[in-house]
Amino acid sequence: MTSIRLARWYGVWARVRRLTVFASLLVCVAVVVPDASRPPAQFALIKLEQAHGLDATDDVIWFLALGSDARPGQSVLRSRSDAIQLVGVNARTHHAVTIGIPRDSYVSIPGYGSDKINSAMVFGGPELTAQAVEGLTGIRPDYVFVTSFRGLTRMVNGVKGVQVSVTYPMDDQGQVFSPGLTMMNGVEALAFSRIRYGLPRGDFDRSMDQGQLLKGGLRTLVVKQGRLGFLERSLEYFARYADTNIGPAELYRLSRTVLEVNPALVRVCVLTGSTGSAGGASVVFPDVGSTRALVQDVRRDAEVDRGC
Amino acid sequence: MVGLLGSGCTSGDDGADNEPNPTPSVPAGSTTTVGTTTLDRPDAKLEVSIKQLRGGVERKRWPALQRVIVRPVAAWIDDGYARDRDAEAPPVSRGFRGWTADARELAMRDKSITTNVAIVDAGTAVAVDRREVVLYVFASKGFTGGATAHVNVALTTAAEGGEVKRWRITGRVYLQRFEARWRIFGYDLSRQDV
Repeated sequence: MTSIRLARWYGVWARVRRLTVFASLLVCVAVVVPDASRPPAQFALIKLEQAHGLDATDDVIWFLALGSDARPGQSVLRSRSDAIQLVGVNARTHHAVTIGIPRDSYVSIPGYGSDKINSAMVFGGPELTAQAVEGLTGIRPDYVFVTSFRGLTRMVNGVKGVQVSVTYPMDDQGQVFSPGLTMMNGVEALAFSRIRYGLPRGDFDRSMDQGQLLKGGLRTLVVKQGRLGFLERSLEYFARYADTNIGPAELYRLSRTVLEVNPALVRVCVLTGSTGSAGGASVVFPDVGSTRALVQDVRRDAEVDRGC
Repeated sequence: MVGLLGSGCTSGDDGADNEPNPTPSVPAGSTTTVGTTTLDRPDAKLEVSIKQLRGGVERKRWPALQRVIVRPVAAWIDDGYARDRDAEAPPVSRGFRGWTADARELAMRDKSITTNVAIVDAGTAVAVDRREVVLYVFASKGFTGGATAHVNVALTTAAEGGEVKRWRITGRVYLQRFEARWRIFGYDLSRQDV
């Protein structure tokens, strides 16, 4: 009996001891291991739930952007075009391409023989320039946009400046630019688009810079369009001061279409060619083969697949 | 809700459309109950303001323009976000009746954002805490060209298990007149869990 009682007592004691050890372990764990409720997170990765869409045409819209060198008192639409950029916009894929055409390009101007392409606007205004561009590239622009020096300056100042990619160091026309992304006001942007001095490829590089200015302008508009009333205010200003034959509905739709472009998907190209002389003037003879290849590449989708 | 916007006269290109437009079907101010889940408070009413309308549009035309422009936006918010998703609920596509065909197709593709289907299932109750639309309208020489509607919608959802969440949908939709009716033709929206 005694041995049985002792055995029972021993068993009970062993259980108590095990429970004590287990309880001690629990206490230790409670002290050492952090509380089950998480402390405030110091890191986060959150997927933004966003959606974006626009009922837009499947076709590429082609703009011809012309910078007129009209001086005060001269007609903006009947002066030489200092800058000539053919811009394709694909709202569905958010791509765009700018094709710079050197102003001294020696081309056929319908009804006026062969001449520098910048003289087409003097002979027949933006419409004839568009025809000359079509003859050179095979692309008929849907819209022609013309601005004067002053108009460009005012537009850039109107959006509080544009950020432009500068490729080469420049020191001319009272302005100094270093390579890299540069914030420019209207006067600086105008100078940047006109400087040729010091550029390795002269007019070709200047045309490239004009494309970069367009790209920078587009980037600025895309970023600022989220601001309350920005687009409506800008369009109202444009409609009030611009000479245009398109109505407000088309203007609004066109603007929304252009703003679909992703600035990162804009390619800046320039037609290539060789320099020479014609009629006693220094001219550029566009390379027909590379022009056709580039146009064939971008015509349908405004995407540059094979380089430019 | 449309009554809230007043009943000004229509003139010029205000969109004096006589066709039946999508009209809101969820009355503001109702209490939402789904199954045993209830959010015992009234839905917020639509607040609309028009912030920019110059371009030769007379001020007396503003209320009428506001009314016709906001109509497809209000209908979309009601059918897209304010609805429960129980068996009797109309199809999600109903909220896009005031959209252009292409925009409707795109919005259906993005319905996890452009509607509440991703956050509301059959047993979930929805209450609208805020529905605000701010219109910016472009006009020139007295004719409207298009409008951007900035939207701000706040929702509370209560699942059957009792989990209550709050959501906010912000962004903008773009509108234009198509065949005498204002329709949404584009959108840029985001949803946040707040």
